[in-house]
Amino acid sequence: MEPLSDSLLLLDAVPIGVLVLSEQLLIRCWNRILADWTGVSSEQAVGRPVAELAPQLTTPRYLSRIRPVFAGGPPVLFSPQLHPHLIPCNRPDGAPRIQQTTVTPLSLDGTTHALLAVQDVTDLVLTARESRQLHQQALDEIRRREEAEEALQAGAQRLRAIVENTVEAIIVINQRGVIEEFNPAAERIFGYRALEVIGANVRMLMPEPYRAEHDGYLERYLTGGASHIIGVGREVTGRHKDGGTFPLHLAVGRMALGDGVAFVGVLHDITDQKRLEEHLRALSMRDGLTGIYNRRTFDEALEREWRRALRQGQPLGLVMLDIDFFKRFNDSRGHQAGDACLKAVAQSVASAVYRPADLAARYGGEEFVALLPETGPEEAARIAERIRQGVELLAIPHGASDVAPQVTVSLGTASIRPRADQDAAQLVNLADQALYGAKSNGRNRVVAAPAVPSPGGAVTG
Amino acid sequence: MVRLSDDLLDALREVINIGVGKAAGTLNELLGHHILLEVPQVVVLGPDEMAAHLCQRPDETVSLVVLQFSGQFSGLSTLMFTSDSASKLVDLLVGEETPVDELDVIKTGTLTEVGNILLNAVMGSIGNLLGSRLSYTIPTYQEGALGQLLQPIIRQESAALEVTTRFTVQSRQITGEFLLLFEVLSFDTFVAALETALQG
Repeated sequence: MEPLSDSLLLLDAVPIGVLVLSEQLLIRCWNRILADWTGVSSEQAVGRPVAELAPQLTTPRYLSRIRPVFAGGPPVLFSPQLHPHLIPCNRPDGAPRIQQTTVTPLSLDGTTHALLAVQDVTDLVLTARESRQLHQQALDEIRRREEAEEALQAGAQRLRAIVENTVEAIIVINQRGVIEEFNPAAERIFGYRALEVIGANVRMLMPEPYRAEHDGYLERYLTGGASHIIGVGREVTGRHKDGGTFPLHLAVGRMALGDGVAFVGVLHDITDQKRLEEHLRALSMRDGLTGIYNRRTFDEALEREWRRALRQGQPLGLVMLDIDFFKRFNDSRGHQAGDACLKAVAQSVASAVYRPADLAARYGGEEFVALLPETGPEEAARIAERIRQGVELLAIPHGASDVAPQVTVSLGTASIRPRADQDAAQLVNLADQALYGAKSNGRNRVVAAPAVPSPGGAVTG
Repeated sequence: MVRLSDDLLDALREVINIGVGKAAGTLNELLGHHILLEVPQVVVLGPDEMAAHLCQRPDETVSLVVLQFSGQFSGLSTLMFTSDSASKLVDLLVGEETPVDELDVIKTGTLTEVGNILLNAVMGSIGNLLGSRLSYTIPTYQEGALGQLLQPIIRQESAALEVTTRFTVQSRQITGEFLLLFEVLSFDTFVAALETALQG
């Protein structure tokens, strides 16, 4: 077979740009593809210095790499990433062609030339760039998710630490009432270890009768959705491992968990708080100076006992008393002595009424009362006399009294068998009038109120 | 196999050093950063040593640029980057973070060119020294496990010149390993040419 002679025809047929340079950097060949790309024909290009058509190539940066090729050195590559536009030319759409150029030695006319093969890799590079960006976006997305996941985990750990360390007891139960979570604070107040209760029904932490009711609550909540306890706190009774019960404050939250629900109970032991409340309540019922019941407690007891007496058809007795010449006592002996006197008299009154339902109270400044359920007029007068003697026997020196050397009291008594058309104030009025009578009749004595005439003329008591 | 005398080895080391220095200058321009170059280490490896040496880390992923040469002596000239070094290089050249495991056009093109620069510099220096005219193929790029890439090459070759060069760019250390693998008898020719060139 004959060797091909017309090498230019061959070069025009290949689908890459071909440029042949002499060592003097003159263009020896400029193929059809290059002519198409640049708009410069082969005739126009051949013989011209390459600097006129591709100035970049003759800068030292490129020349230092191309030069060795003329000495038969290894091929030189110019990658599209680092040298995209060695031969200035655009694609039909105006975008510069991205080129990959390989320079190899070529023997021509007995001298070594440089053959530059230029490939248009625009599509390839743009596609690669795009896929790289997509890849990067995917990586970024993954990183963001990982960060979010980490943040979530950190959050979960923090939450766990809070649950473990809070002073509030936290108990989580599922919709069947089975304990799923039991924190250290819960362990402390109930006396159980978490391992002993997790998996058991929360009923075990409740005394009867609450125990039996609890399932009903859950059932009602899950079917009806209404609850008296979700979201609002309330007081309940807990059962300690040792069997003892104690007051608890409980708030329950509901949380959706997968396709079910769980209930989060936050509890604290309010034993101390209850004790304090009890103490404060007791204090509020008492008179600050004398320690016996105060006026408010008496008023409440009077109403209560009046209604009871009315219901039961029983008489209700009342003694009212007043320390004789107390203002003079205070003036002559001082307020401290006055206070001591009030305390002593109060104790004396209190000790004279000893039945459980009886109630002794300080009514006003130096006035005291004794409320006596189921007590008729005679019995009330007897008790009043006992009080009078008791005070006299205290033998507190007075020094300014018209009636005795020591402190004495005047007393009025009354007793009513209540009827529906009467009220408790009438009893107080009667006793008060009797007390007035005792004072105007020489003091240090007991005066009983006259019997109240009933509407029908009958006498009560 | 002919042994290289210490004098010859020294001379070879110097020639290669000059070549790598040139390459560093070219890379310097490409990267736009100053490149700090360490003196390359040159070791001659016999066939057994090659196998033993290269199989220490057969599973390591590497980037390999291969240039075949033929003429007075024939063989393969390869430049190998660890995937870590390869990524650092591409980062510096392209200015983007390159995923370590990714073989894409950009990485291939860029690394092939870097390999081309370094291999040409070394081969050019040796060619100049020996006055030998060699013909070369276009360099190719391969990426994969070291053992898989090199095992088939090593079996056919008789001796290797291993050149390890380290350069630091912008406080990043990049290590490249040249391996000049000679065909049977070619290494002897190479050594003889080296002796002649240095005596002359």
